[in-house]
Amino acid sequence: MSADDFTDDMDEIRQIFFDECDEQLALLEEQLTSLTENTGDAEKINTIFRCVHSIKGGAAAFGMEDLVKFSHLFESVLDRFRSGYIPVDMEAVKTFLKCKDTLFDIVGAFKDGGQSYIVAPENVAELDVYLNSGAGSRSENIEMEDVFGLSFAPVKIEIDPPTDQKYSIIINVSSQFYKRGDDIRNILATLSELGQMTVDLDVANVPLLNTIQPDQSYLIWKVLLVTDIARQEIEEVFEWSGDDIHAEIILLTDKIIKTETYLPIFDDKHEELQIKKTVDRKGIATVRVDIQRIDKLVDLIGELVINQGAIQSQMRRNKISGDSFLGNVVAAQEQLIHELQENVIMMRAYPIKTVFQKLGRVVRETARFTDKQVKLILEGEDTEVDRSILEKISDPLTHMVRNAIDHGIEDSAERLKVGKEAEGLLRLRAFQRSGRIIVEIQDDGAGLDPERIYDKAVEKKIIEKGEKLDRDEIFSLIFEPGFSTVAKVTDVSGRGVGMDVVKKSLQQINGRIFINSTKGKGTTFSISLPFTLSVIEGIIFKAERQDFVIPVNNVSETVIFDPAKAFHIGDGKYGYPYRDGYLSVIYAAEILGYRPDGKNQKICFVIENENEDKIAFVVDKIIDHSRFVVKNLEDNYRKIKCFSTATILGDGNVAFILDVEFLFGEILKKESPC
Amino acid sequence: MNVLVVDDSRTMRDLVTRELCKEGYDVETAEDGVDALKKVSGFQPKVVITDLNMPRMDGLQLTKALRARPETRYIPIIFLTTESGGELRQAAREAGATGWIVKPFDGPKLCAAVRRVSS
Amino acid sequence: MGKSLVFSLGLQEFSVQISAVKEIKEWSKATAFPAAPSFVEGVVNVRGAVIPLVDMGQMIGVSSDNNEKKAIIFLRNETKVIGFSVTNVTDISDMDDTHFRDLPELSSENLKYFSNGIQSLGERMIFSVNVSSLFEGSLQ
Repeated sequence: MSADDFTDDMDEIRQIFFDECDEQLALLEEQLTSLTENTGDAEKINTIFRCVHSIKGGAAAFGMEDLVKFSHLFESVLDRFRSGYIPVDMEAVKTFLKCKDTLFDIVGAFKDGGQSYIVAPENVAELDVYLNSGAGSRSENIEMEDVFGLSFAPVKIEIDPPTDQKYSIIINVSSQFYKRGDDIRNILATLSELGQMTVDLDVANVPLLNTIQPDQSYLIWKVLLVTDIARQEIEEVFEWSGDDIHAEIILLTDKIIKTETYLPIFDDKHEELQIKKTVDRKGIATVRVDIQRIDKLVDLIGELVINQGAIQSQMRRNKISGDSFLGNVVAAQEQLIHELQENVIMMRAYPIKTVFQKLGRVVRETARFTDKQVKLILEGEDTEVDRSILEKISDPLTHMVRNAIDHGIEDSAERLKVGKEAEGLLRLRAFQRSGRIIVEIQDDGAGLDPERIYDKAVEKKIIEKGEKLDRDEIFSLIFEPGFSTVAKVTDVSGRGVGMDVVKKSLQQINGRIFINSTKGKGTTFSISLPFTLSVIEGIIFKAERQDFVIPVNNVSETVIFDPAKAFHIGDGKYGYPYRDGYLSVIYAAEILGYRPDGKNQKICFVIENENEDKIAFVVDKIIDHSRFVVKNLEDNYRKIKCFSTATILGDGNVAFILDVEFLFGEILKKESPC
Repeated sequence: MNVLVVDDSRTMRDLVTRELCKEGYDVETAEDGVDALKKVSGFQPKVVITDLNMPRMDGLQLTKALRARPETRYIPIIFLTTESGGELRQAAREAGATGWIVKPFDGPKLCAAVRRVSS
Repeated sequence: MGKSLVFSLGLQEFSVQISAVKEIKEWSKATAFPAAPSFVEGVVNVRGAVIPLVDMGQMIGVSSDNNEKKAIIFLRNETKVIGFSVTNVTDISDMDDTHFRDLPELSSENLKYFSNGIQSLGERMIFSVNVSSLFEGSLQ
């Protein structure tokens, strides 16, 4: 490996640095927010300090001066808290959070290719206050000058002109020198690199053998060095060892030099080092992989699944039993492929924390902007979600959080008037429920006012006056395009993006949103999301000789369909008895535009949506139950009615995946359940 | 020649590794003192480069621990840190640190330091 | 004007710029879906990607339903790939400005939308088809 191989990976390390910054900032946020509840935890402050310190270290290595400066200032302040000079209070935590946001911005600026970043003066001023208060503030003031005098990195000043100078250096060492693992030969070798060197060993002080103390040093080295480097650099060689080494450095004028016999040393050692050029980069515990490579892996495994299906369908066609040797091998392989797929998809999973923590900032900023007091509570941050989902929920959640503070939570005066705490509560919660991820945004604000929403909807011509709607239907009006509960467009949430956009973007990832609100008590928005967009578990069925897939999540029960029990309910629709009630029937063939003949239909799926509405979905035949790689139709085409996605079957043909929500919404001619 | 790099920052570990590999050293990394202690016996480094402030076990504690073990008693330990304060430096020296390099990170300076303690 | 792929829809020859051609395959039956426009045959699987298949003759409106379809030309435009079924793929020709003519005045609006002119190659007359129009038309 040549040195050239290392020039390119600097970018890579730079990227690692940014990744690490993100991690450190996330940790910082986590620690800072927990400080609120547990003030003065020394280990936490130390961790916080370390995060900032790490960022500073890396920033310095990449020459990001503004980042170094600010993190150094922040760190100095934190150090004063760490040392106990200043007690941690809520004000301080607020300042820290602001600083964290600033760090985030600076890192972002550099990540985007920026060269510099100007920190808001008030942020620096706030930190200054801490730097100058409490005990022991003097020394810190000096450091402040360091920070803003731009001299964080020591500047080398050339004192001597770069011509050869001759130095006499007389060295003796204490026993402590060796105890620190150092060796005089190291120093001599280092000196020899600075120029032409000769060494004389003075053994005059060595005592007689019987009085010698083995851990004492009795030797004196007399070095003559001819070099063009500055005296300072020679001093630096010794500086390391502090009091353990004593070196007298004398600049000799030409006439004094008249050397006697000096022994050249360590040439052979030096060579040894030169020869040993084997490179081995090991011990990197985590492997960083470009996410595109993992995506590619997911795709490839998807194809493997398809091929597996092909083998199985070929086996069925050739009537090879699953109990045969081949059958067992193929079954074992299928299991392996599934595990492989799960593992690779898990590689892409991130805790939802990454999104939640961004929202922490949104909350603080929005609260500041609207002059409200808001306490944010995060729950279930470790819930893992596929990256494909995570990327898409950040914006809708941001908008909803802003909305909750801007429109939901009242200002302190108003809250006190109605007997609430001055500080509003905003709770973000994530958890898993029946294979889906649920994210809740709950505020204890004013709640939605159904009458006001109704009037507004009439005014905006979304509904007709007098139209009868139940509470849930009224609430879902806020998702209608053009609806906004507040007439005045505020800076915070009224940026032209309405709840309709939120709902649309969630629908695009198969997410659904529900509202629960009590006037005066607060509002809860629940978002239900799939874990991943790339694989679903589904049942493949036949209707009118074509194969389709229905997500197994939506199928609550499969029953044999008895055509005799179906009864006409008008408009060409049928009902079917189920348990102690009746369900509406939809024939799969109808979707394809066929009129079901009532002969082929043998199976009925009882399908259920998030609202627990049920319909009887009648198909011809169940083929298989398996996992399917989801292919987005919009990649190469556009949205299709009834089907949002498709998959590829074992025979290489495409099968559409049924969009159950669409069935409920469109085919029952009922407003989408939200 | 084996060099053990101890730093809780992956960026720093990678940077240091990169510089040392360029010079032909064999590098092993550890995330903190505890991790480093686990790795020294197997990897048998000729030099240890360590950060000062790390979780679980910091550079000072690591140095003391290494100095206390017979097999690592004389191993050179270089501190690579942004701390330039004299007190900490003295503390490190007392703990048994061989050398001290102040960041910002400077590749040639680091390699010179490693050569300086290992030649 | 560069090289173009020449193909036939029924008896008439057409061409598209070769740079947009991703792949040519033998025609195969697509998976149909409900409420598709009449010129969309359905979707096909090409090495793991689900790609719509469009009957180009029907879309442009120059051939009848029962034209024989032997080949699919997969074209790429920006990020999307769409397959177009054609009667047959003829050859690859160099197109040049000197033999490029406007469409006759009375050509159908549809043809004018998809084609920007006629290339004459000796006795042959080839309608040059605009790739971005093909995509716009297909995605309607």
